[in-house]
Amino acid sequence: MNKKLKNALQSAFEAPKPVDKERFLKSLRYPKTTCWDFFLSQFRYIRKRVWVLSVLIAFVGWAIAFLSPLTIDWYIEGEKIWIISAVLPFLALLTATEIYRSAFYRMTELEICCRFSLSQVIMARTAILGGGNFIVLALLLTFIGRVSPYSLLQAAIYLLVPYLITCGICLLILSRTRGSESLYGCAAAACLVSVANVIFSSTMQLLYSNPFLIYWLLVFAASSSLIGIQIHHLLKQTEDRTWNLLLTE
Amino acid sequence: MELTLDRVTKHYGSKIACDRISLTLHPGVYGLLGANGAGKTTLMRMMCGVLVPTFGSITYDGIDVSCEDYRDALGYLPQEFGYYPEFSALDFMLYIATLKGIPKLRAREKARELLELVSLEKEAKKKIKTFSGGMKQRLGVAQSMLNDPKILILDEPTAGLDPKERVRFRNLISRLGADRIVLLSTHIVSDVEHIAGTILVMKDGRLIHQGALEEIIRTIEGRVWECIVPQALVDSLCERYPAINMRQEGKDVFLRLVGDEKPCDSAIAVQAALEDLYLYYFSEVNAK
Repeated sequence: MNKKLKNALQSAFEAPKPVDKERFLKSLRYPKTTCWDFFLSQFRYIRKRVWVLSVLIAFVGWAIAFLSPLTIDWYIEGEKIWIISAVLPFLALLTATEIYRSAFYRMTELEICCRFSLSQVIMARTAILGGGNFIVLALLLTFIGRVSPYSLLQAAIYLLVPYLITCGICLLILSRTRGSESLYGCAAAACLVSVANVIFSSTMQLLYSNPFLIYWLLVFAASSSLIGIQIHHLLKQTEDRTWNLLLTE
Repeated sequence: MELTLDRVTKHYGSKIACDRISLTLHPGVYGLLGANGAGKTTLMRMMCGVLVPTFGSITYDGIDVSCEDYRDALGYLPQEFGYYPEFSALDFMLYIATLKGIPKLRAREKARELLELVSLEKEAKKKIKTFSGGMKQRLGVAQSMLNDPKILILDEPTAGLDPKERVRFRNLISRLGADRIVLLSTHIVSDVEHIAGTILVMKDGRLIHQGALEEIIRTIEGRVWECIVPQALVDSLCERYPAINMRQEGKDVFLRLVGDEKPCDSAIAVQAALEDLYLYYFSEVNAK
């Protein structure tokens, strides 16, 4: 229909008021969102601080890798990895606490009984945060790989071990305690791992030497397993729907 | 439309929170009455899939409580619930709508409509942390209705509301019960008395009564007494019988008591009310 004519008709005749609109809308089977829509929607609910810290860490990694020789007289190249790996526990801390957010803020009971239940919320959050962390770690490895005297595998292990240890400990604490105490526990664990990096910096050369690589690999495997076990435990907890037992016992 | 509970049992170690509860609910309002620790919240949590029964099954039109389709038909207001601190009322509603699988546009429309219904439209963009207890409760009720649920389970929905709001909610719940199953628990006996078509009474994890108000009350008919007694007798009577009402009348005291036998010579049997029944079963004086 001609647009002008349409407008003229609209202005000439008043549209009738809707009759029984409520009932009609109730009977309307509007399409529900898909799992993919739900997954995408969860991006909005990851707090900005996680993304800000991720960008900041990536930037610090880039600055340490490429700008530092101009401004700082680095003791050795390995120290760059050491410094970056001391920052990563804080990323792990934010990630772990973000995954457990529902429990901190007593949202579990509401989330469990929704169509996309708590276990799906946690899986979506874990996937999003895991993806974000993966990108940050990949970027850091790329930066470090270009200036490090170590092989990429070695650099990856040295960089990831403090991150994985913190992740594992935080998830362990979060799965066993509730409320703000667990948050303090996680913060303490992250600080401890980070400070340990600083304390052992004098022995860094020795720790990064080839004979010690096997120990790094062992810690890497152990902390990865701990994370795997904790994620499995978390999902099992939500599937068994026992998160709120503390409220009833 | 039928919600069936078949021998639903929940154990916490040696403690039995719910003991073989079997029920069939059809559209209408059901009021769940019971003292603290009677097992009301545990039962409601199992009906919402928050807790897994130790034994028994819960189905809605044949759909098990653990299925997504069951949750899709469910609206739930927990006794206590939290919120993410950065959320405004509207953010909270939209977040729950996302979890309930409601598309974005529809969610915004529905959230605004429900916030208006619970008189929170002006506070839609305010942070929940600034809300009073009653406002949070209203928000909780609003979120439970986002998906237009066929099963609506409300654990203490009127707690923290002022009398005016309570009456509004009672009327709203009454209307909602016309085409869905509404189960509500409360300590406020008058709320149940006014809106529940069927009353369920729980004690020590067991369902001891179920039926319409008149049927339930019939069980204590002839056991409610009123008398005017001298001050000196009051203490001894109140020790033996749960007192529902006590008022000074000159030098004497008016008492309304519940008991199997006539408490004193001057006592006369009067018509029972739901509150009398509640006290009869749940008073510490008369722990039956």
